[in-house]
Amino acid sequence: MFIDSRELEKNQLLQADLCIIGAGAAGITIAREFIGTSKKVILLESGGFEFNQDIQDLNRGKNTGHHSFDLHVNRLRFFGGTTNHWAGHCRPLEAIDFEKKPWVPYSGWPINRSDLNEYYFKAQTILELGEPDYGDLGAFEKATNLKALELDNKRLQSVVYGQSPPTRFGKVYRQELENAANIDIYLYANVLTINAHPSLSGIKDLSVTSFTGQPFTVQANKYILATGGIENPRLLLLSNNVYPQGLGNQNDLVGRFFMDHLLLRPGLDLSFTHPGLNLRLYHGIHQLEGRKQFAVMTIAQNLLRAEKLANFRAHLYRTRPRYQLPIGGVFSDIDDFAGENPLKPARNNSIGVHLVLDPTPNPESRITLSQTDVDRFNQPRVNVKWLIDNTDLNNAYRAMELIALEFGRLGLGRGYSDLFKDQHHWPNNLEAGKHHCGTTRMADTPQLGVVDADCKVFGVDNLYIAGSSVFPTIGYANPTFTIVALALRLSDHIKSNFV
Amino acid sequence: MKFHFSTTRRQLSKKILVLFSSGSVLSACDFFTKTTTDEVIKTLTGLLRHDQMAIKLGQIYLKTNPQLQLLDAIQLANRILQKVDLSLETISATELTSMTESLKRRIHDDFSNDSVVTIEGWLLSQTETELCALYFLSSNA
Repeated sequence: MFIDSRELEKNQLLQADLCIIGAGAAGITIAREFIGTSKKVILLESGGFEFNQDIQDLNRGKNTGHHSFDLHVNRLRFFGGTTNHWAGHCRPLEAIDFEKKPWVPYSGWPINRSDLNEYYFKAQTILELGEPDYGDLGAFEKATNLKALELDNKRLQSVVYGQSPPTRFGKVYRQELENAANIDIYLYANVLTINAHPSLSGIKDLSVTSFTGQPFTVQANKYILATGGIENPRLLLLSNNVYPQGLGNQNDLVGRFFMDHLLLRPGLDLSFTHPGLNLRLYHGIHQLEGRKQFAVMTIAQNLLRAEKLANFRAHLYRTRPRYQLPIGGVFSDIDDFAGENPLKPARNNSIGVHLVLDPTPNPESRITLSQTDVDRFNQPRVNVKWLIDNTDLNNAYRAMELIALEFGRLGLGRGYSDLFKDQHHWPNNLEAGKHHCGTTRMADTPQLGVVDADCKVFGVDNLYIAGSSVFPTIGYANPTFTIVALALRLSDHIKSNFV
Repeated sequence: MKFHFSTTRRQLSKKILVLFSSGSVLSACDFFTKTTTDEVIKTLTGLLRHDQMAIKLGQIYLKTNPQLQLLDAIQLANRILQKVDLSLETISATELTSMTESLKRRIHDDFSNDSVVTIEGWLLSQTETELCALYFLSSNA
């Protein structure tokens, strides 16, 4: 059932077994898992069913480090959350992404990829992916009748990505949730603080306000915070009724380790000496029976370990080349092609390589509360200080170099990159993936993270966190698939812990 | 573009002596189809398309590589030939024909072995860039 909080009586007390804050991919997934159970669930959503600029304005904040993206643009506050504009690219994290890598400080999840396998499988249905086999490039080649590049698998590999329609959670699952007798969804409900019990190590209640200002309270046995990688730490920091430094922040870790995928679009221009080269497997999305897929290039895991690099993926896409000196074609005879003038930087003899790089965790890259700016509820807005490590720059360089090396080795063409021109500075087209992660990281101990392996906040008995804020590292894959898989796992954990 | 490099009379006498002292009739036959230095350089630079662009690239490479600036065209050609186990001194017509394929392979091997250089933002094989430098030097000889 949907309830408009603006129509609630002032100071009403709402009670449930489970309260989920935020109706995005994670929140809706968890709520759906409780449909038809004996547990009463309250799902709180800040917005309504449609985009509203005044509500969206609550997302405003300042970028005080490297400019990520306007904070009121790259995430959405209405039912369905940011799935209302996500791209739909899906692939599980690789096993190596969960490992502690000695050359990456603060790396390592307290769980393994195998802990998520069953949940990834289930998430495929939720994300309307069909059943792609992420490990079977051959099947993808056969289905598309296209050949993958013969990459040196000691350097690079081609891998398959799944493509969600993309699933708009707010639209696809609205009716199902509306019909669920045990789920109450409160729209226009903004949580102001999560109030800790003064003497017990748990949450007492939530102070909530409707968008028009009617205050109300929610009490539950368990609470799940699922408001995204920026709002999750913000709410914890704002919740200081018992702990002045904020909830779960006894080790000053809430909001730290903010990270996002590093994007260069393009990071490399490939100038073909073979204009007839067919790279369609790697660009464009292929509609197959019951599923959509595409291929990307990634680094070979052994090389990643040997050279102590970061994971990355590379898409190919048509773009205007960035190079000014079109010299790639000078070598076309070497690569056994002597056709039309390949010096002309035309769209049909070059292609862009879009790099998505796994960033290095950095505790100084962080979200804090603004000392000066507040929102309409007088709540401090956020400052996002996104810091990018020099290691990331070196990793980006090597990633682009590996792809250029492979095109040269295969005799297909040559690569140009702004990074090859100046390896000490990021090119001016550096972007963020808009995948906010790391700010309430998962760890084995409270000294290293905010939540444990079950996504429970350290030191708080009945508060859990869902979403990409718990990712200690993020690999190269888009986060939504893992967010949904983790939400399913958390649902199972909470169900098994209800007495 | 013309090249004016050829084997000197002294070198010629020395090679005849070496050949006949080895007693190899086959080698002697091969010797009489011996190539001139300008033919070799022409074949080497013939691997590149677009003269002016290749020369410009070679010039840029030489500017950033002081070690190569000490070489003249013959020395650089020799350096390139050595990569495929040949030398200007001894290369035969037959070897000249097969040299092209060997060099192409070598260039692709450069990409396998990370023997690459970056010029103006391009990642290029060491060998192919030296070919450009040779083109520049020989065009200015």
